[in-house]
Amino acid sequence: MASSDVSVDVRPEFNSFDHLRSIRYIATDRPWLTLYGIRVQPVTPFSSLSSRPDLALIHQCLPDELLFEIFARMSPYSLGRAACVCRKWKYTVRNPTLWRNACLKTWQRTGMEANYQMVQSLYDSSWRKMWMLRPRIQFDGISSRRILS
Amino acid sequence: MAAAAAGAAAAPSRLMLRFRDGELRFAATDDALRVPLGYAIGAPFIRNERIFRLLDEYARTHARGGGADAVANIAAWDRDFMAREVTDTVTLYDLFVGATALGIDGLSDLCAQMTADAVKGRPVGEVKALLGITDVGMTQEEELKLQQDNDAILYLR
Repeated sequence: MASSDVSVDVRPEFNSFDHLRSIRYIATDRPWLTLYGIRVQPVTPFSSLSSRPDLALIHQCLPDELLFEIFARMSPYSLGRAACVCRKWKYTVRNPTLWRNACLKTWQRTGMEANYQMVQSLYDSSWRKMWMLRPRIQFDGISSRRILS
Repeated sequence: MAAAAAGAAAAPSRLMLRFRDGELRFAATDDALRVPLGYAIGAPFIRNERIFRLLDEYARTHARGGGADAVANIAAWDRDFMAREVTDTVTLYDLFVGATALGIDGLSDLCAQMTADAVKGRPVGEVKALLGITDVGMTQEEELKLQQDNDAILYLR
């Protein structure tokens, strides 16, 4: 059984790649690249207002992950105080995990599923907002009183 | 000749560790890993030989710990260890970093809890003084507003 060869017409310009050598690539002028390292300064959210390096030992020694581990062992009231210490702590304390744990612990009787539904429907999925706005009982040492935030 | 080869195989190889301060230390290991003479494994998460010794002591003591009856003794040993060795914040932070890097969870928890307890219940100014935080990265107006917001929201009066 003889197999018939299929002949395909190949356009002459595809026979060699010599024509590619004649193409001149356009070198795009990008003047804005000269700005980098001269005028554009990298901005970090935790950098201080002054140009001095952070002298606090805790910030020199501990990365943000370990700061978070410290904050995870604090009560929400201590976290509120910690947020006032410095800009770096303020942003670290904003971590939703800290506030989720606080909310689930405070309103554990409500049940985890109900708390998750509530935070999504009433508090824009923000656990911190839920902690701040949802009524809770606070024990001040003398008597328990209902606090409406 | 065979006996010599067997003896060489039985002897643990020695690893040379280079700590963050540049100190060197030989550590015996049963691993088959061989390090060429003169080369050191970098261990930048451990500041110096003293911190390595403390991490080693903690890990060995907890590895020896037995069943449920030893838990109380271990807890007492932990308290004694922290009181005896952690006399300054530099040591505390170095142990924290080293324990986290090496996966010594018990010591990592202890260090985190100790730092949290030091901060807990203190006013903001006292925390700043305690930890030496001078450059807060906020203007006085921002700082005051943040404190007022937290006082109003979290009842920290």
